[in-house]
Amino acid sequence: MKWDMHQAGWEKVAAIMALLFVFSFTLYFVFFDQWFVQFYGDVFAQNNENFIENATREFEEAIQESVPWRLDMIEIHGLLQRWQDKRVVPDVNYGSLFKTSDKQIAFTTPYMEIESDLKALEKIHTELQALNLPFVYVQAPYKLEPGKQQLPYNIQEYGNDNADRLLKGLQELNIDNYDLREDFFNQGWTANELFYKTDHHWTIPSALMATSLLVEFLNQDYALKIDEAIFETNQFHFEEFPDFFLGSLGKRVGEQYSGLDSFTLVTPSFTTEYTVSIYNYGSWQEKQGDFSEAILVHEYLDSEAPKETNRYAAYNGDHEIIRIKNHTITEGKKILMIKDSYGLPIYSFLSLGVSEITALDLRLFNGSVADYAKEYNPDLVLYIFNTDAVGRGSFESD
Amino acid sequence: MLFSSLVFLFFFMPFTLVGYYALRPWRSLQNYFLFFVSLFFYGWGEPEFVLVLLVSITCNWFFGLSLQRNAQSKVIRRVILLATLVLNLGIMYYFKYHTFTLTVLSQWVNVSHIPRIALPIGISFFTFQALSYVLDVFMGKVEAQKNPLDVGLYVALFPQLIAGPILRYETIAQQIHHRKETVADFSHGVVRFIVGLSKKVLLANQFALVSEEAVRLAQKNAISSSAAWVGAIAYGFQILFDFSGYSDMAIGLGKMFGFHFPENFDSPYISKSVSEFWRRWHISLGSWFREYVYFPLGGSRVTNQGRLYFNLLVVWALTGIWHGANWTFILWGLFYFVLISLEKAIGFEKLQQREDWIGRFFSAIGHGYTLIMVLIGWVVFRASTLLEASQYLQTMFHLGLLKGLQPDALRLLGENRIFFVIAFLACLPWLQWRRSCIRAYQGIKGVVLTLAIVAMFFISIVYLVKGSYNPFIYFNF
Repeated sequence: MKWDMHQAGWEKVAAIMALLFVFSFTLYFVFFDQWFVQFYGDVFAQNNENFIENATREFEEAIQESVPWRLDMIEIHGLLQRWQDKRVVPDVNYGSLFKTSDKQIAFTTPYMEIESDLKALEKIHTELQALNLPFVYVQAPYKLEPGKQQLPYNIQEYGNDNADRLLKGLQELNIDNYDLREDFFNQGWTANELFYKTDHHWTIPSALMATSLLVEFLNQDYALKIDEAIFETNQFHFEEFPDFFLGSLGKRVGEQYSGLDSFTLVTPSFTTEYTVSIYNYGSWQEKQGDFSEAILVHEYLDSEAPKETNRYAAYNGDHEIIRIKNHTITEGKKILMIKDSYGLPIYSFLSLGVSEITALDLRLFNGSVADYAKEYNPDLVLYIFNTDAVGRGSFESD
Repeated sequence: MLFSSLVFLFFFMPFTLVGYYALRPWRSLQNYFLFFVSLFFYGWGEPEFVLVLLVSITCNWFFGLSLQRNAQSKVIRRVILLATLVLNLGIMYYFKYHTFTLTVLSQWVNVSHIPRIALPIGISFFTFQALSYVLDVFMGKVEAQKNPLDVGLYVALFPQLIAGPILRYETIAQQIHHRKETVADFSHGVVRFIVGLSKKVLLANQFALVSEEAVRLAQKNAISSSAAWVGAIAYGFQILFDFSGYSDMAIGLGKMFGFHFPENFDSPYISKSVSEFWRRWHISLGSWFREYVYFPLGGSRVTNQGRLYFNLLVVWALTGIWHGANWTFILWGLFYFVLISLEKAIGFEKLQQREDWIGRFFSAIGHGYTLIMVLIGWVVFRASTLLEASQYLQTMFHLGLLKGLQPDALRLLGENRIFFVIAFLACLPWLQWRRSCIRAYQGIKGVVLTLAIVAMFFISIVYLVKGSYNPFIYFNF
């Protein structure tokens, strides 16, 4: 076979253009980019046996992250996927990301073994029982609704199945639990009202709705006597920022593919007064003021900030420990919440109805939850996690 | 290191090109430079296996030289040849087949320990190249190289080091010192590299997702018959564009450094018989087995038909085993032995050449029959166990296929419709059809071709930056 066509001038032009492209990137890497500093720091900070293997991997990762116009290239990739009308987009971290029938970007969760999660929850339950502290596990939803066909045909999703098995296991162990999913999805809200299309989190208004459902449950089952009227929507101010947010999933597929989310800031319209203490990396920081001053982190709401700024984090997270004291309710309850990122707006809103709430993030908190609870002595210990956290050792503590 | 990686494209390739052409007045220095960067290329990520490569190079250089110095003694030459085979095949056996052999043996005898041995990338490729050097010296086709670095360059030259094409020494010996770099070759090499990169990144990687999903669903018994066929076809496209893309990149890179490597693929999916398919698929491996196994056994010029089929059996069993230590590869090789033997027995290709209705009939069915057989072969080749292969084939040939395209097949096809169309077109030998396409080709302006190549390159980079799935099937061999 002769691959060659007539040797043509166009090949020379194409070769020159391609080499210019390659060498301009090479020169950028060599002279203009700071990636090497990061790479050098990452590699030489480590002291292990597989130095060369790690160094080569770090080198490749540093380059991957530092390619000039990386975000523009991801946008072009997203545009190409949109033109092809693709609903499955390959992704290095998730394997694939999917566009749901509601045009939301979602990942899927594989089948997970839940035995170690059950053991971890049983352990903490037993330890808290010994301290006479009530404990409840709350199953928060993920954007893929149980029983609803949102994914492309035959895509396997086990997040809800994993959670179902976990809750069944908890029931068999007589551990209190609340499946928030059913009440949450039965409110008649659309998928895009419940969850950001470009992010995996629930929207701030739907998190407020979830908080009111949770309060109803807690009052019913634990007689906490939290004022449910506080959580009615007429008690809040809703400020909408259109096309304001490109969430973590949108960043992976590009705005051209996912579009942008609007962001609704929800703040109480009644008077509030707080002291918020945040513990990270061995030191405490304190803020005082009303809900907006003490709880919200306004840098995440800056309209000049890039669209990929994590607007959801305006509700103050993720911290090893956050303690919120509500000075307007002096005789109220005290809650200890163990949570993943779905807990951010929940503890922010729940704090409106209690005297004090403290949230621990087990991804950062290395101590014993039981020891902490013993010292803190709350009226209730609440675990709240979304379905994707199930089966991943998310509930283990010392 | 992968050709389809940013570190290769933006670091290794430009620095190697600059270094190589900076040494342009000194051919030997250029060769040493290429040898050492090839070792760096091979050792990237897994440096310990460079030692295996160096042992292979040093021993084969020594064997080649010893053969030449003992040209008069048949006995010594045969001892050296035996030592060559034992060493090369011994290294390959240890890394590639030892664990498998012990696992098989453990079913009948007590094996105390089955080690898990990491496989040096491309060991089958560089071992066959090294063997080719000593065998060519033994057969008197070439002179032995006095300088071990020249042998090293032949074995380790990075464009073809880990996935071929497998260069027979006699085809490249002259080029080590007497190649000529030209602007025309260089620019053609760049274009060829981009074509290969695009095949790999834009086609093979996309089909890999389809075929892997089909296999995953089949393992859960959650796939329809028609979707299983779509998955098998996707794997057929994946392996073609993965491997031929790599060969294109290797040939293109070779040209940038003045080397002319033989072609490895010739539009294999247009074949009208399985025999023809194997003349068009992985040509360098077929050529190696033909030259060093089939012909020495007597080839097809034997008086005894039984001997012919024995020779074929040996070649196809070895072809299967060469691909990997798994019963699936052995079955795959034997499957082709049976098909090619049957074709020879009935004179299938001769029947196709007849000009009567028989010729027309066999020509008409030849293409469909070949593609179906090749797809069945790929299912076995792709499977991790014989049971998995059997279950997948049962799904493919289940009567459910009569129900037409099921929703899962429609989704896999619909999601990737553009890739399926491009892949189908890319399988056709457009450049060989020049006579019929010449008018159309002349009508295409150079600027269109230039923009097409640059666009393909840019889009490939976009996909690499996005960090899509990026495996290389033949690295495992």
